[in-house]
Amino acid sequence: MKNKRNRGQIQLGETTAVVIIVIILLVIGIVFWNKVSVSNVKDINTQSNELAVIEIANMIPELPELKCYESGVNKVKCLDWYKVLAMNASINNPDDTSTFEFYNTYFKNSRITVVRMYPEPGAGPNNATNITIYDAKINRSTITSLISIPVNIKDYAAKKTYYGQILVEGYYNEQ
Amino acid sequence: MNNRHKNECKNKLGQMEVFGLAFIVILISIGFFIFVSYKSQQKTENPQKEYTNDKVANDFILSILYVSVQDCEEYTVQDLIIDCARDHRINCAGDNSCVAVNKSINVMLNKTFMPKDVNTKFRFWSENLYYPENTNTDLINVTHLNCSANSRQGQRGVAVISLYPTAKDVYLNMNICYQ
Repeated sequence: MKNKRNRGQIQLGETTAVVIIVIILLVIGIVFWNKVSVSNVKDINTQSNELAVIEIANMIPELPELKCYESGVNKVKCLDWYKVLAMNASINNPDDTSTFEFYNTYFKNSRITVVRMYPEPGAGPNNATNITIYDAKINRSTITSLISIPVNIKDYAAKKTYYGQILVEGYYNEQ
Repeated sequence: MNNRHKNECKNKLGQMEVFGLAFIVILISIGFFIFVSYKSQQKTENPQKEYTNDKVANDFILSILYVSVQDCEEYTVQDLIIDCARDHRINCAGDNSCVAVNKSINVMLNKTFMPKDVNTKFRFWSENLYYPENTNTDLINVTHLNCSANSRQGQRGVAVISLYPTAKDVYLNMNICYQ
């Protein structure tokens, strides 16, 4: 009688130990799974933000309001410098924000700068080396992602072709 | 007495088997956790890096061909390359076409890929553009941050410049390496 009770107690102890171990493993598993899925969501978020910046950067050289006039298919990305100046004046006009609002639907939370790098532009009112044509002016504590695309920048008046870059910075909040 | 002893032995054996099984299950679970944590730490390349490594080399090479050369603005980089490979007639501010084109491409490479905040690993080289003449030394061969043919690199950017009517082509190549 005593033996049977002892054996029963041992078996109960074993079962309890197994249940406790299984519960500990389950808890560790849940905590672990949670951590992995949170880091996956962060990665996906960062990736989609970077893809959005790439999309904007690829859109700019294709905009008719910035693109060079060339007949036929043009493989080289090319901007017309005077169109860049005109767009800059229009988007950054403090008296009329309608152009900024129009482009805001395409360019979103970004800053777009056109830089002329080579040859050195001479002195003159239209000879700036870089122009920020669009800036959503989100506070600078946000994380930025930068994409630069090499382009040709044509000055049809001076009959010169510059080498330059389109710099697109995308602002997004880290979550 | 004998039967009792046999039963106790069987029980002990059974207990040991159960503990062995539990031990194996625990080991497999720990192994699984380690595997998943290792996999989750291996981050995929971000789209920004992949875009830079695959697209920028080609965009750069195609853009520089049509750029006006400093101090020689009636000519483009492509004109100077053709002259360097074929005619040797153009002179830019005292430099022949080969020296002038080498200088201008180096300036553009410096300004685009070598600033401290960018510092991209790349190599840029020409084929069939020999300088000095009658040697087998290619005019341009720039390597930055030890980017070599064996490094992991994105898609190659290539420009083919025809030397028509000569049956020859000049190639400009560029590769951006992964950091």
